[in-house]
Amino acid sequence: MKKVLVSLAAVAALSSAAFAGVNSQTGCGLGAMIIKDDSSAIMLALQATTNGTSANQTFGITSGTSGCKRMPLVMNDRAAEFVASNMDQIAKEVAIGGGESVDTLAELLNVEDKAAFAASLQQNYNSIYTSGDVKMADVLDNIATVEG
Amino acid sequence: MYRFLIMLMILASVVQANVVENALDKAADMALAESRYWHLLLHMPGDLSEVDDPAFFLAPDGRENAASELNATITALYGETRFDDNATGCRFPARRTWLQKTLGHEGLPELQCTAYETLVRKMDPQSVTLVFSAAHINSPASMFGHTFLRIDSSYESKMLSYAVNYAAGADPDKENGVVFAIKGLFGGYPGFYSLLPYYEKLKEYRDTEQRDVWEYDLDLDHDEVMAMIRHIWELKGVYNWYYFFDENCSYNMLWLMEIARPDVDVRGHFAYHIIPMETVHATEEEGLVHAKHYRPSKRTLLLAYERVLDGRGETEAMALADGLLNPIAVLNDNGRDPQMKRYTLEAASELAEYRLMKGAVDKAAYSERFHAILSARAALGKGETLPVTRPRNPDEGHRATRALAATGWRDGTPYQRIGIRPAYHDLSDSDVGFMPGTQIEFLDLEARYDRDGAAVEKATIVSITSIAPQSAFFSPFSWRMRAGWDQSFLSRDAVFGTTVGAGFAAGGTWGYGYLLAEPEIFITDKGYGALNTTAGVLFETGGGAKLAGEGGYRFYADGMRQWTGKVKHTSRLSQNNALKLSFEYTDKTDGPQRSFSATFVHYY
Repeated sequence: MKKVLVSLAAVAALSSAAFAGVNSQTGCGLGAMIIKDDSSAIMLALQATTNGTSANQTFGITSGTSGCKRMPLVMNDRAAEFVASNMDQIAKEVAIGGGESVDTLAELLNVEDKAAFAASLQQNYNSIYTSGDVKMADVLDNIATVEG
Repeated sequence: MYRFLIMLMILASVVQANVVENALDKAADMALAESRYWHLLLHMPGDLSEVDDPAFFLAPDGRENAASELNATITALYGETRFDDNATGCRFPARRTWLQKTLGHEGLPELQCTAYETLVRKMDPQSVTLVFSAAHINSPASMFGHTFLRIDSSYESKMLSYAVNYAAGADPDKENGVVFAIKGLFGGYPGFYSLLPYYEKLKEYRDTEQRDVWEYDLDLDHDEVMAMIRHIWELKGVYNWYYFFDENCSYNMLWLMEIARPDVDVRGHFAYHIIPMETVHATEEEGLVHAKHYRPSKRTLLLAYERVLDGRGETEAMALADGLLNPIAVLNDNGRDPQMKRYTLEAASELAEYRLMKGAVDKAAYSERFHAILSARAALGKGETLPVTRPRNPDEGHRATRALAATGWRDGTPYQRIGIRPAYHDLSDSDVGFMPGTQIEFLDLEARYDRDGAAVEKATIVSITSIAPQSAFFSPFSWRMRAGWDQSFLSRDAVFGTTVGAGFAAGGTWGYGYLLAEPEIFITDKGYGALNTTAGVLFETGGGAKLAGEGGYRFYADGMRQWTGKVKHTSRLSQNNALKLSFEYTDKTDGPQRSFSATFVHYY
């Protein structure tokens, strides 16, 4: 009936998962953005303060910035948070060629054609998931590159 | 100049005092302290709030005195001395909004509630869904299921919604199981509301615990949703003692629904114990549900893969998950149907994750395998979507309380039985809406009347069964425990017995069969130990009907032996009515006992 494992544990796991994946050297500066936004991973709004971030805080990455090629995607903290927390689920869906998590990512990245996005991710699986221990920031960077 | 300023300040405080006085007078005239909404805001069903945390109250006696809490709230809100996050109105936005609406906002100061506003912006609340996570096979603690609310945003993806959960602040892994159970029953743990991304809850219930998830979209408009959000904020970090049977996870969601729409009375459907699924029934009866969705658990998905895979596919999927087969070999196997290869690799990735969750593989080895499997799968391009059979919605299942009346013959003599069981489900009840093979009974009481008068037929204290069929990917135990009085002993009256036994089961869409070994203790004037060996089979016969048979051979410690057997057919007449026909055979010290009976069962 009740799930007695405190949600705090999940939050701790979530935040550590997010930070474990942070790499401030990533091409599009995503990692740096996440480090700066120190509350974005901690979504326990009722037990943690929610300063430091707002829902409309998006980062447009346009052509030529931060070492990225032309980048039509809009990267944001929400997408980073989501990918960090759902790495394996997204990998599975990318390999299969679609699913709810990939659709969610498409929505977070303001991608209009979700089916084309999913197909493109599947085709480029090996460029996005370059190894078994790939990090969240790399995955997002690679997606940005592939979709660019 | 200074004198003028001091005059001005005195004047200001007099004006403020008047504002407070006016609001207090108006509230008294309107008898607001007795209003339903005020009691909802205080979680006060009678004269005492269910919130145990003193931090939730502004008046020292606020927990047991709604009027004094109202006066303290009005005084604080209309006489605010701080106007930022520390203001009373920022701490209690639901109280403030309600008072503003009923008393008018004259004199109610403007506030800057940054923390609250940030949360609302981030959550972007638009609608609410009641989520039921069904039973988790083999885990009695979860057999009633669990409910929580989900606050949906303007995002199309529901994964980006937030889950509002209520749980006891305890870690069962760190507590002695018995202590945990007792404290859970009698309020030994503080319960807290929490808020998490829905995808985290899905990982917890759907993936880790492998529980099917059912979603019931509630018909609440934006204003109603916002009323709920304001109140959730008020409950931030506030504890109630957690009671397993009544003030539990599911019950504490009901306050939030009533805060959102005060003219529904979901709590009124419950008297003494709250079973999560019952809160879904109550919510539907109050007309709040307008759409339903299903999310299969990881276990359900893997079972669906078993159905589409051939034997070789199953073997290969397991070998891939265990790292004994290279995914490239599957990819390059030209003799295989591409769709079968896709399913094999997909199932292997799910299995690999399952192994990781079970702690059967370390993270590094898992990452390597998982990556290789998915890389091979991606190379096969888009294929067919896995067909997943959707089980019957739990809201089509029978209600929790059962009453029955039976008539029959025992050894040729007519007899009647009546019985009542407050909770919840047994193997012979229709499985529509329930996970097959699970049984959880509390206080199943039956009385018998025959030519010798009235007698106790059965008094179960607790009985839990988990028949979990073995399959290609899963090899669970089946087990059963029981404590209570029944007719299974050698004498012809109800004797107290207790048992915990285990075994194995196999099954398919037709039903399942099981073998169990059950050490038992019967309490008689001598005291008896016994070992019962049981074989059972259960066929689903369509339309929620089932035919169940079970035979047992019991070895008593003093050398006595005993055969038992029963066959029972259950017809589902409607969601909450059933007819059971049964035959039972039991060896007794003075010869065999045979009973036939027809039982009418009603659930409510």
